[in-house]
Amino acid sequence: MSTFKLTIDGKVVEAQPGMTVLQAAKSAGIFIPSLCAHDELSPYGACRLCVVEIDGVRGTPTSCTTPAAEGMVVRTNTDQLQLQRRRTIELMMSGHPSPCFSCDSRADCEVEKSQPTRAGHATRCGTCSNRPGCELREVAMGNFTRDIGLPLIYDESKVERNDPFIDKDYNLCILCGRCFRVCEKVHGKPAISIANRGKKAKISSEFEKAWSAEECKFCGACVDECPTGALTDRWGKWFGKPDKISETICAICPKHCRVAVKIKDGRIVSAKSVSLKREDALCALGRFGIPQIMNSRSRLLRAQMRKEGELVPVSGPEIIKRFIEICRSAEGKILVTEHTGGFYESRKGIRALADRFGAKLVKLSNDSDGLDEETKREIAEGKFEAAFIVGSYLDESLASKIPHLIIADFMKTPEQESAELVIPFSIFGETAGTFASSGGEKIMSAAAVASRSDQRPLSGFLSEVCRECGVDVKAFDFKLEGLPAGFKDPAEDKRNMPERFLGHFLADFVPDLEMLGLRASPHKKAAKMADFDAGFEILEKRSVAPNFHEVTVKAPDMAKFVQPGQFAILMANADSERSPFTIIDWDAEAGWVKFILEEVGRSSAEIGALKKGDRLAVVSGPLGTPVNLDAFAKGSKALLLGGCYGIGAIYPIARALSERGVEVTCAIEASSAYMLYFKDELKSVSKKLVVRTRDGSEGEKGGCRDVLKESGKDYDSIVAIGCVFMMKQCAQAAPKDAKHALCALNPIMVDGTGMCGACRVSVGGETKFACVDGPFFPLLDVDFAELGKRRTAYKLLEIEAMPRHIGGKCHS
Amino acid sequence: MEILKSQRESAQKAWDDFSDAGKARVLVGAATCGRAAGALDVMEEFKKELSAAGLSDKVEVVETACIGLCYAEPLVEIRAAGIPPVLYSNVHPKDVSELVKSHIMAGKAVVGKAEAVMVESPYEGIVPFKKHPMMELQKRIVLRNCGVINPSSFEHYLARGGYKGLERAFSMTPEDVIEEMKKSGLRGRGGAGFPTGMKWGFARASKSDEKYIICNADEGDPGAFMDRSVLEGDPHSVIEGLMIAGYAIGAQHAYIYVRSEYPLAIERLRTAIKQAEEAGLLKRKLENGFEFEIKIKKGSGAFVCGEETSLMASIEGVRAMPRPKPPFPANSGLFKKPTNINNVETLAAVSSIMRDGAESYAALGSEKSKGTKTFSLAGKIVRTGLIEVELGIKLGDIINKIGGGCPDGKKFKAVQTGGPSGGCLTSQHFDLPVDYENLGAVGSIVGSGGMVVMNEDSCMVEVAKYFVNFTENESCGKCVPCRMGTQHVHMILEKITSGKGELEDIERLKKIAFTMKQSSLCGLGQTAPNPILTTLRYFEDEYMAHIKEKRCPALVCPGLVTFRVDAEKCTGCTLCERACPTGAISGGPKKPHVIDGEKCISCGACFQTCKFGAISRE
Repeated sequence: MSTFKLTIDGKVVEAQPGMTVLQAAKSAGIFIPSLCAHDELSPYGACRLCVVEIDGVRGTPTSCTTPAAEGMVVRTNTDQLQLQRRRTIELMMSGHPSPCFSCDSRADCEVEKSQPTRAGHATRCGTCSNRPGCELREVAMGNFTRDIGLPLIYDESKVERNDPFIDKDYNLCILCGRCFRVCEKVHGKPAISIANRGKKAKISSEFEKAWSAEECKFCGACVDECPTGALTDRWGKWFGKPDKISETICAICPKHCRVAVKIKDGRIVSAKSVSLKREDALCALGRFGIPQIMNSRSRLLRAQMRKEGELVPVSGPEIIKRFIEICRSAEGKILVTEHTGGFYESRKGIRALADRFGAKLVKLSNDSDGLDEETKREIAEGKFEAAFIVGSYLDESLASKIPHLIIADFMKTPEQESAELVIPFSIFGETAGTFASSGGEKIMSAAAVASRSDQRPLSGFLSEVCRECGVDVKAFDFKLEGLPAGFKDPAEDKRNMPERFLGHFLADFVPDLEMLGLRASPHKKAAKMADFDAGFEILEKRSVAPNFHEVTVKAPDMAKFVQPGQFAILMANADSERSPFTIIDWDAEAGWVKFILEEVGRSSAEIGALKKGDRLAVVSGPLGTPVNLDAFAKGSKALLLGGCYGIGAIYPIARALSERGVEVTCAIEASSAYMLYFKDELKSVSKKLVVRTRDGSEGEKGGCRDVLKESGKDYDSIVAIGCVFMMKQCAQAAPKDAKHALCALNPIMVDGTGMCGACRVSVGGETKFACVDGPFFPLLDVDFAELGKRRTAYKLLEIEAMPRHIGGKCHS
Repeated sequence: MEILKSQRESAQKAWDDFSDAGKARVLVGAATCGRAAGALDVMEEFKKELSAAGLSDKVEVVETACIGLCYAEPLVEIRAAGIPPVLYSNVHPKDVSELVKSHIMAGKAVVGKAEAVMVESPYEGIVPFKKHPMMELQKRIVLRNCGVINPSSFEHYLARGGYKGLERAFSMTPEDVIEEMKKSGLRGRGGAGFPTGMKWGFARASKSDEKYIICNADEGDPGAFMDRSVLEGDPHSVIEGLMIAGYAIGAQHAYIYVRSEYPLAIERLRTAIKQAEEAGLLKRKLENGFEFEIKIKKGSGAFVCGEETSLMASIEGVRAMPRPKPPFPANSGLFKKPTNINNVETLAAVSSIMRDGAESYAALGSEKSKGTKTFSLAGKIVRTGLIEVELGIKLGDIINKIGGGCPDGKKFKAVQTGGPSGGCLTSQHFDLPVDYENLGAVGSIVGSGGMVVMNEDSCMVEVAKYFVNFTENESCGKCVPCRMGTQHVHMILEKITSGKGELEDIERLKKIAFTMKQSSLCGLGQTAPNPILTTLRYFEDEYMAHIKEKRCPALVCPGLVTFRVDAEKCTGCTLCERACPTGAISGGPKKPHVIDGEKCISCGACFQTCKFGAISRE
């Protein structure tokens, strides 16, 4: 069949047979907004955005489902269509947590917070990991009127974390159907579909079981195609938009799949298949494992040599020199291992070395359960003077039997403690080299990112050694093996996934694999923390708003001394981060203290995952200088402003001031009505409560800034507590001549007693420690820009910490 | 057809015997509606009484189906020698003894229980069936056999001209059959009213080695039971229609998609299909080479399955969600093969049209809406039931003449036609000819034929909310306008009925309705706003009363109604006190009761329970 012509918006467009109107328009550079449409997936027609008018066709058909035809006359952009699209977008956004759209401060806020807040639940764009790449946002921005004119329907579905690798937040889902269509496209029979109907319709596996119990292969295609962030890669989601995507080869199993890796700041943060063809589908390791392995904290970064009994970092030439010395001295009594999954170039080098020094060469593959029995016996009998082991194939007792042990690896292991030389190398993705295709052909793998620290390609190291020893590596050319007999493809069935790579248990670096039944190494298991049974009992815990918990803890010694405005350091476990939280209520007699806790990262999520009756490892306080109540005169007027956790934090101050006869007005803000809490509590301790929401869903549209602008001058005192952006806005809006305006700062804190200095802030040009000098400081004097910057100091570590398992299981 | 020739003879004999009015027989209408009213108990009682009277072998007790007078169920026709057959209504088991003794044994009609006499002239003051107010204006083509024959009898169907339509079709080319359908003017009776002949033509023109024909029996509109009655009362008329359609389009396979909530219909269909197979009509090559099989597929209660593409998805075993058209089913339908879908009533009409010829059918009805249409009358109407009338009949004639208007002297307020996709019409439309064009012009639809009548006690905002709640729950959730739109309009109507409505809500409703109508994927979403739009159009004053005056004129909406006890009328019986769920009523025995406005949630429980009319609403 040949091409044909149709007219779109007055332009004659040439189209290929089989094209839809949408595709024909796109090929001619005519943009029609769409969300559910996808060039490689079956037409679906659910989002209803790509509606067009076609002469002779009734109504407004969707261009994604209508085949283009010869002579068709199509209009894509009439007023009627624009109106229809806008209304549809409004309906769509009304079922998606979208208050940020109608917020006047959105642009400023997003400049201030260039990364979304890493909250447990995405309650708005500002706490959504998908913000940088959200297609819904992009389409909506282009067709959006500020006021969606409809109430938000936010049903607070729990984020489902019952599966490895994938977080499922159906609050964000717009049911575009891309996920199950891509699943069908890649795997034939989809593992997921829509369950229930109408407003209860949601993406689900059969009978809403965990996907791991179902056909799902965790190829991640659904996550990659999700336009909204409803399905996300638990580990990679907070890194933001990748700088680039490169292609490399995954060498974890002998299949050597091509994989597209997403690179951000020079690191591989995510991976996906190179196409949606079935043969290109990745297994869970390829899709989700690679970045976690590459960025593991167990990566071996430094080249080390034993000097005077201690392993110390050394330079490259020194290592090579010592390497050759050892080989020469132990000639004929050397054990060398070759990993059949390694680069062709490295394997040639290993073979050349083994030949040159008369070594015993042991070939190992991924599924090798360590060294063979004979070799183990030989080691135990002391047959080897030296050994060059690539990967982790020795246990510590065997390692100690080899006088001169050289270990090359990409991860740290316990047996490296017994080595004389430890050589870090970079692996696939970080090194260019050659692998075997499934048919045994040579295929080139590019380096997507650079090696880190002392890591370098093993092949490079070996060829240098060989050159020094006068060995011609070229002579050791060999024919590469194809797939081993009986190879089972992990992309076809998750049970086929290899448990190890280079001798390492993959679950050591990719903990979610344990949910799929893959073992971690015994030494990792032992290192896990024993349950902490001391600590502080949680007497009550309730969710007051999405991401916000009210936690009441038994802490009698502390409850005796708390004063309004003080905080305490909480830790869920003995090895948790120390995080400060404002004390919002206490009872000295009953011996409890109460906190409002916002889930914004791993540590707060850990506490958020605890239940009534569980124990917090550490509750240390009261800390900080209480608010100076004497500065508020009886009969004077005070305005207390609270946003996010600040809504809770102003409560004890409001109560104390009201008790002293101060006329208290509380003003609180939230992005939308469903994020408000504590209204009744605040009403009970103040004369007036003003509510503002950023989307106008409750109270007037706006924030605390607007309250200050309108009536700030009517008050003798102002106290603002909330996120840095909110307090900064308050500082800008407060009357410039305000005599008594305070804010409570929330920098990163460690000890909370003025020793570490992590919480330093600049106030009126002076350096202060928020933990002891604060948290209260004059609102107008704080350097908020510096505070904002300092709070992001550990961004990368915080991202890395986020997806780890909490409390022995995934946090929820 | 050769194979039917010999069968027709014995069939005629069986029918002659069955329809012999002089032969003692008790015919109990035992379709689902009759059974719900207690028909099976009545039948048992007849058997018992007859056996006690020693008449068991002389008087046959037969199960028939629904004749349409649902308000009068259980209905029993009694035939006996020397007395014209009489149709008795509202028969209770306790009435049976008298009926047996008087009518059968003494040959004297029980006038007090009689609904009609089944002969032309009146008898003992009993009106002849054909002159019965509910029957007089009817024209029964689709319902020709319903309640008349024993639906489990292939012979009865055959004797009454059954499969003659098929024989006539076989004497023509498929193209001529399609032409005949076009001439008849028959339009799809499932709701959309698409010309049946044209639809068949598309499927005929589609080239394929395999084609399907589907009978859509997924009747789901609240208050609609036309298809059920036909399947229960005359299953062969549908099977014959399917075969004619299959022959015309060149299909080999048929599915009847029937909701599993219709167990009796499924049972009757199974029996009928088996009979047709045994008669040699199905599952074997006929003399003209036509070979056809019919399968039943049970639906599982999703309203959206009535939409043809969802229905096909459901048969294929995947989630029932509408698929975009094109491709149209005629080109790529069930299992991606050319498929034609017709509704039960359409197919039942087809068999009659093919037998009697297109002309006589086309002579009925209005200019663009030919023939007859069945309607189910439900709600606040004296004679509820199933009727078949010529299209073009005046709405007022259906409501008042056939249906008898509203009971208990209450004032008619509205009639909802076409189910959740239809609209509410008022008495100003009584002169409106009921057909596709005219109902469409006033914002409603003929739909599948449901008519729910409402009287002055119905709040039209509440009614709109009811239908929207229905579509909200039945929306499959696939497309945005329907999934989100139904939720929003329901929320707004909830707001209005609870007295929190604002004037802007009317605009909001219209705005969302526009988006749903314009942008929804399938008919469910596109028509879901109709109940709102028509009530807004004809009953805007009721919306305004709710919004502006915080008043529900029909005194229905909780929160907008205050209940008071009239101390004069109150006898202190304490019934209301006990019925009140919030303990808002106090008083004690024999003392006038008082309702505490603070505690009262206006649920109306007291109003319902009071036997003395002592509780007033305002």
